[in-house]
Amino acid sequence: MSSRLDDRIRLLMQQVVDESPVPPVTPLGPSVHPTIRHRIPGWLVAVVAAAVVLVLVGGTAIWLGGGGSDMPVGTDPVPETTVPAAPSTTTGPVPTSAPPPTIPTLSSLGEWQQVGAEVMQPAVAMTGITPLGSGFVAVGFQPDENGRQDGAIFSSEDGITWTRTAEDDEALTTGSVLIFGFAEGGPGLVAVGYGCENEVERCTPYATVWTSVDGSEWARTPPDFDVFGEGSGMYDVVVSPHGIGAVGASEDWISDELVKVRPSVWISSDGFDWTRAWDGPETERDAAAYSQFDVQMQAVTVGSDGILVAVGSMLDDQDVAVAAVWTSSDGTSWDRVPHDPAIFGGDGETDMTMWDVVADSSGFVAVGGEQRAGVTHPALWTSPDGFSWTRIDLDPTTAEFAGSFGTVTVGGEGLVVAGPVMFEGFGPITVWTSANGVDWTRLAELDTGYSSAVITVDQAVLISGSMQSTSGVQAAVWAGPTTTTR
Amino acid sequence: MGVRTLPRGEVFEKYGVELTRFATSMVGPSDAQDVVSDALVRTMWSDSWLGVDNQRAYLYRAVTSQARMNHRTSSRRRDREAKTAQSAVVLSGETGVDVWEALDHLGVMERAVVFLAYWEDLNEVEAAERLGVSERTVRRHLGRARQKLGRLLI
Repeated sequence: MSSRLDDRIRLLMQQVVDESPVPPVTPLGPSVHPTIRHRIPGWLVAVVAAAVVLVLVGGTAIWLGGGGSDMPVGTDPVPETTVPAAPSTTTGPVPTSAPPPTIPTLSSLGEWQQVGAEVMQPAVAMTGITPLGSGFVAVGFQPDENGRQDGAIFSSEDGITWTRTAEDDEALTTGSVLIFGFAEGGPGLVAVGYGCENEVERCTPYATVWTSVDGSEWARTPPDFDVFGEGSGMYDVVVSPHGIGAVGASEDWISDELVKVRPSVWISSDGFDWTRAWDGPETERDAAAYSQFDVQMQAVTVGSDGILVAVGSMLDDQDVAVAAVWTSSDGTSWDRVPHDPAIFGGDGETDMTMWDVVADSSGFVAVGGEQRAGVTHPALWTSPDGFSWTRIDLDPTTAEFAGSFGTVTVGGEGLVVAGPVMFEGFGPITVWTSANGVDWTRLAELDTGYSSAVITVDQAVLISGSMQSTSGVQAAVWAGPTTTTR
Repeated sequence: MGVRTLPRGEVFEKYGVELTRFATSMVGPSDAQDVVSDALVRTMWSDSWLGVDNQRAYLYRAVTSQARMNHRTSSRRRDREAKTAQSAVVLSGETGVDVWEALDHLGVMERAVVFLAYWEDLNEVEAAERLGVSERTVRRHLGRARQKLGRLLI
């Protein structure tokens, strides 16, 4: 699905081997993996080679070593890296309260187009998009001169023309800033993710909240270990009758040992003051046996009756990643929906993850992916109340599509879905719509990249994500109609 | 199995280079040789060495195990190295991502399966046999590693 990613990983291994303290494979110079030799452009090899030289000239053997993972050899658990769990590819803000704005330019769109490319170029990923007032806000990140990520905020009145805002805002440029979910709430906007404020030493990220009145100026929650922990991350946020709720994952460390990775929830009444509301139950299993990607809340939404529903993944007793759903009636006490292998996976053959959830008139819809024989396929679940779930059998063509359903919203014929998600690597960004959740129509196949969020406005769809371009990788927003013909 | 047990003196000569490269993928160049040496000493002078059928796979597992122990004892030192290294951050021209920091995001086993899959071109069955784990474990670690690296390298 992602030969480009494969090439980059081979290039990475090439550097590992070249720096290995043993003779090169070939007597004439550094060993070159055959696949790299044939597929990687010469200029890219030169760039990386130059980078290696820079490291060696710098006189330091750099190895920012990480931690352990599933390790059947030996008995000691090892610490994982302090990088938090996988971020969600969803923004989650489902327009359940206020009606979406009416945008003439979007409503008259006849075909799909990338919008705002001229201002989004420096950013490498757009991680979310949401309506705000009568317009829209999109958020992403771009690398700074230290190789860390700065937040990148864009706004638009019509969904077509975009401008960069808050470009030099200290709250978005200090340390590392990775925003993965945001919603209209608190003082205006509440964004969640993870980052660090350390400019010099190693960045150990922790769950972080950013707030803004209108997107032009931002404030950042100060570090607070008791609330935000270390190695934690928030991946989605929802504004509900119970307050503002953020979901994600937390890591528990003792000395250098990663002891637990647990799903976590934070709540706030105003977006400024936060409380660690809930952590998933502790497990007796060796934390090194799983990675952060296996245990996390990815997305959260609120139903019309005030029930909060969060989705994500956990590991079952056989170390298989399975889809997981949690519910709460007050935001502070959460219960996981009892696991059923027929619904949430765990038959020993497939890994399953829920990436996003939305509330609709019938209850809730969750989307995700099921990995079979190394290939990920779309998956979809429905629930009338958040507590009882059904796995939907997709039409055969859609069921065999290579890629997840990554993000979902209400609109079009009923539902609009886009994929793949960031962590599958790049692929053809595909947009579907369905009236019943079973039979799906492909609305569009966009650029090669990934989608992070989808929203519908009138009869239009806006999708945020990232794409390959002639100049590299860039953040992107696409706009198009909710039907295949207009 | 019909596999000849090599005399101890020939083991390093036969497998030393590949094991060191493998170790480099997990612990970096500065510690790779120590990890391999420790693993070989610990393994070949154990009572069970002469009964090992697949010496190559056995050594890969030993190096993997040693790499994990090495990580625990040296993580604080690496933090200091990382601080020093800030002045020489390597940016790839295409994405602006530090490729070494990318590997920092992988666990030891994830690095191991990535190395075997992407450098040695082993399939899941072969990598599982080499590491003495199940195919499923290899598949899961490889999938997670690709997810993490996909975020950073693309």
